[in-house]
Amino acid sequence: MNPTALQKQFPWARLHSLDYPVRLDALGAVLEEIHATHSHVRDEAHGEQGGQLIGDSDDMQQVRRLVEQVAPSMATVLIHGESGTGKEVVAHQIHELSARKGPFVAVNCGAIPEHLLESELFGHERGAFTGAVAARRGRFELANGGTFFLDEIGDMPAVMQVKLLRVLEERCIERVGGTKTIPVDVRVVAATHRDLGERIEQGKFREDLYYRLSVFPIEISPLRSRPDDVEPLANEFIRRLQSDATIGLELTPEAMQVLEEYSWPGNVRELANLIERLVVIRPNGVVAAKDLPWPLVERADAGSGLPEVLAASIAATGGDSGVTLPAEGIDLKAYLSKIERQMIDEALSESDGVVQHAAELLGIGRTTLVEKIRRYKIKH
Amino acid sequence: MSSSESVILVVNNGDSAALNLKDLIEFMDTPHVQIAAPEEWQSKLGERRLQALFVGPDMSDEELDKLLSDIGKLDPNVPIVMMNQGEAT
Repeated sequence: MNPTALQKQFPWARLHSLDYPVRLDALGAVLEEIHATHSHVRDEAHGEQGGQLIGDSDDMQQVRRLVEQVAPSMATVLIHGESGTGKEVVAHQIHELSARKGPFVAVNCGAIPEHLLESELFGHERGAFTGAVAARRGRFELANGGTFFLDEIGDMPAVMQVKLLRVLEERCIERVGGTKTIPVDVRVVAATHRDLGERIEQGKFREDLYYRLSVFPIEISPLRSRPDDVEPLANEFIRRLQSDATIGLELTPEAMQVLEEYSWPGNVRELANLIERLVVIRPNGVVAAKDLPWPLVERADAGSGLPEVLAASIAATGGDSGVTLPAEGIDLKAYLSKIERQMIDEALSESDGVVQHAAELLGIGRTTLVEKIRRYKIKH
Repeated sequence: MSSSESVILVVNNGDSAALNLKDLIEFMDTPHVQIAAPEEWQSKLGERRLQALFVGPDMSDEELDKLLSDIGKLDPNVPIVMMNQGEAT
């Protein structure tokens, strides 16, 4: 049966055809297309969230609401968030919740050398340049009928920004070395960790492209500002990893508290990597706070505000805390937490529950105190 | 192999062309290629995710019809690569 007849009989099918015996260059081009349209599958295998928006913090609930609002439309979406916050997961969720039947295709604009990016996005005709031994469809064509995710758009070279703007306005492309205009039905979702306003001021990003992309902006906050999401995310990563070969990894409440207090410069990706590491180290065990990697524990301490409280206490007693180390030793972290909680209780009592006043008494910021009140579940 | 692993399936009515295709696909740095006869591809796929289907050159029209209908029910988004004797698009 010839391919045209087959396509007519099975209109939904994403058919390719190759001569047999196969030419390696033609096979390579088809395999490249297959890999490109399955990029989200690769991301899932590398430990990202894999298509789900996890977490019940106010910020994540807001992101979920925005995704549900925008998904059914054709609006171009611009996602902003630090590296590792899950921008591609959000983009993929927009695609999943839309009615678009075509594939989800992703490209990282910052990862492809400038001289290859045009061919990658728009494809090329045979003979367009040295090495173009066969015609190849670009990512825009591959995403036809679906969603095209342009990651790290802030790193796109200026010359490509002009070409992208034209595609967004005219909804058609031209392959490199080609003369034919090819219409594309593509919903574009872009993302960046950069401050595009700043890039515009620096002359590194086109203002007209920015406005064309940011029809519907979505901001993903860093993990450190939504500690409530750490536990559900950690549990989800454990669940996924355990479905393969291991069972029984468990984090103690103290370990979970350390994770919640940590600043997560690598965001959700860093958390996923940590859990993977813990599963390797302790595939069937309980992970206590002391089992966590030292930089994590050290930085969590630095970010917890404990030194400020302790310093205030020590200063108030003339440099001597009045505490001596028992011969049998102590659990320092638990001990300091106990002191911290007691100080907060006293400060709140002293200030008749006025958080701002209590924060001043403790020498810490109001936001920090609110976070600690939440963590210790203090009623005031 | 875990259920989350994806695989490229080469279905053909004859081992020679299927093995040749599997070798070539693996040569192009694409691991996890499984060959299967038309009547056994579902059991060979198991719980794994189908990344792409290569249809060998020795399939009858009836076998092709049934294979594509079944793939459509499993996942209509799976890329399908047809092998043609001397014809290409």
